[in-house]
Amino acid sequence: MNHLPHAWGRPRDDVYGHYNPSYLPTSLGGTQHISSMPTSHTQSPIVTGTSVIAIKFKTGIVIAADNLASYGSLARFTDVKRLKPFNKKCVVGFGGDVSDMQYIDRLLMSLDVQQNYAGSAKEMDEEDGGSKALMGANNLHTYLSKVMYKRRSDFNPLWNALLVAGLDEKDAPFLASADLLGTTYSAPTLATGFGAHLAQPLLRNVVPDEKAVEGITREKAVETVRECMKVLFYRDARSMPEYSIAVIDGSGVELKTDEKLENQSWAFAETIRGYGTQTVPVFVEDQDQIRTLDEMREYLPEDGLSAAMDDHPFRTATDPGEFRDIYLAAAQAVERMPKPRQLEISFDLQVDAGMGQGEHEFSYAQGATESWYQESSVDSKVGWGMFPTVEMDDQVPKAWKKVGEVKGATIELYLSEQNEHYINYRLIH
Amino acid sequence: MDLIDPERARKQKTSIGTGYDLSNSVFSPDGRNFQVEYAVKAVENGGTAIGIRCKDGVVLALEKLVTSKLLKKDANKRIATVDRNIGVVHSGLLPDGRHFVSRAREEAASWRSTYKAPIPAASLANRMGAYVQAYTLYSSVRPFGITAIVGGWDAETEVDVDGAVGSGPKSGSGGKTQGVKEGGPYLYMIEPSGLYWGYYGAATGKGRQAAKAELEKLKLDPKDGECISLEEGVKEAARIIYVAHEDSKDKEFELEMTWISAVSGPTEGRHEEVPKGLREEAERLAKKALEGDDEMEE
Repeated sequence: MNHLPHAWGRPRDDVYGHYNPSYLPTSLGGTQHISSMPTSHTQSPIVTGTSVIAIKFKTGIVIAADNLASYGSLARFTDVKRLKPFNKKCVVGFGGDVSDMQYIDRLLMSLDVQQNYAGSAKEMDEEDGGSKALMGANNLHTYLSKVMYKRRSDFNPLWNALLVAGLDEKDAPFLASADLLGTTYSAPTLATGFGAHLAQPLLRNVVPDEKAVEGITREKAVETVRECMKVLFYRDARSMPEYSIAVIDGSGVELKTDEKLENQSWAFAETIRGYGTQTVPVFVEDQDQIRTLDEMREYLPEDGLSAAMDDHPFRTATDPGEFRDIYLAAAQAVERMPKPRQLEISFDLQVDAGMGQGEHEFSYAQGATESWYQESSVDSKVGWGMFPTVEMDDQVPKAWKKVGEVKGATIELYLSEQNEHYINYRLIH
Repeated sequence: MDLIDPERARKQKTSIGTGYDLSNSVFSPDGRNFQVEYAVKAVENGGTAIGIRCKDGVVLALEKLVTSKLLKKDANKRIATVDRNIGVVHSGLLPDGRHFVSRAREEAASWRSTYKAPIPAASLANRMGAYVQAYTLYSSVRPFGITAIVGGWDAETEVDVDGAVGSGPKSGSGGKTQGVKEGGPYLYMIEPSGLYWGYYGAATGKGRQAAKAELEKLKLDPKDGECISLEEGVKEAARIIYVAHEDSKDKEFELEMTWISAVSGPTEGRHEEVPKGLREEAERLAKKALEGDDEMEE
């Protein structure tokens, strides 16, 4: 590939001949007068907002988006509220172009004014016994999707990804998306933008299908969304730690616009070394590791490590707590080995899970002991979307080296030769 | 053929039927526009409509005469919402009122598209006054057969422009001036001639005389410190409609009432129907007050 960004995505001259720019306007090296050019509208957004995420719970919906509007990669505006309440039962979350968001917001304003021509909703409430007379989120979603589709059909799209969250006409939770193409879909959990890659898997772990919604409380939904906002902030470079969150249920819309991420832990960042394939893991040697371990407490599964173990005899760590816990323990142990290190050398790692719920004794080869109490409320089922899950047979692959053993909890740790970033463990029943 | 005979007009006392009342854009020799005056007659036959400007809001009330027993109760609302914060009640020819309201909504929407903010009640009254007046100027149209009462609340709080996404700079260029207070209750009445004034209390329709007499007894001047509250206003409005109905007692009517409170009040600055419970309480008190009056007379 050519190192000049200009050339990226264009046919190679040596293969296809010189690029013929004649169809371009003179300003771009072509021959066309500007008046003879075809009409064109928005080709790309300008000031943008990143992900919006939402999840259904038994009686309502939680939706969140951060307060950042980026100008390219510049964090340009830091107090942009991207959740817009429509009435007492709908909120629209906007990703994408901020000026298009403003346009749609004004559209919604005029829609609301027109809705009230027919009479005020409050009075109808009393007669119909509920807020059923109010426009439902499903109606609002239909309206917005038609606006979006019309605009894309005019080749003049509104550059947004929208989530419409709220209650439908029957006061049941409703969540659906509409985007710049006029595409629509609905699911018990939704995320736009980067969130569709990073947060959606985590949300799905909690609410895998419509049936699971029944078992989710408002608190659980809020907590899950807050965790996802944290993960998004960790890994999305166009995000910020201040965000808006709205809960919509029978009692109306509760919108908070100045929330801050709490209990951030950047321990995982220590393990990131640039991009692309790497074969040699390097562990940072400093005192921060100890503190990092400390910070890990909050990630431990509620009822101990054993909670994370299910029927699969072999698996990679999929839970952030589970993974980091084991990974960092191993990392520490490796770190204490004399250089040059050989990763094939196994070491002892002990976790005593027999001390009852919530308390674990942790010791490593050198005999240092640390015990801690976990205060975590992170459910063991919360997945860690970024790490691939490796399917394994009962047989330990040959390429994997045993690097540690957790006694008591009966976990064995393995380090894969191909990818030493991942520590896999095996349960011994 | 000349329709107008000045000679004949001079001899007649009333000037009616002289021909000067046949076209809109023509004055009579003594400076009257008869078409406008006839329009006022149309208003005088309509059900009584009133508006009260209270300390913390505006009430609009209407004596809706029931023209048929086949009409559903409490349906076919007559007091219209123009923008979130503005309502209109009118008396006279109903279809004319409908057109007035639809024009008012257009004006409010066009204001929003220009200024990205709700139209102030005063500006709406001004625009509608001009619109109604234009219907007195041309021979191709007739004046509006309604008198409209426009009630509104301009937000007393700082309001973001429509579509605002952030709070903007806290100081310096584009910063905010602290402590500026504006807004409040507004009440205007627009007549078929296009004439409009701002009022503390306004009444039109059949029972306007009785209603005005009652309105004048109320404390409505905000400067005297005893200006009635919105909730009192609701009760007074109901009572006044009942008083105004006394003269046409044989006819059935429904009381229709809407209100607009401060942003900090019960309707949050929006024009809404008075809640059923409060309206029924106000009606109960109104009937009681009337009975009391009857007893005193006896």
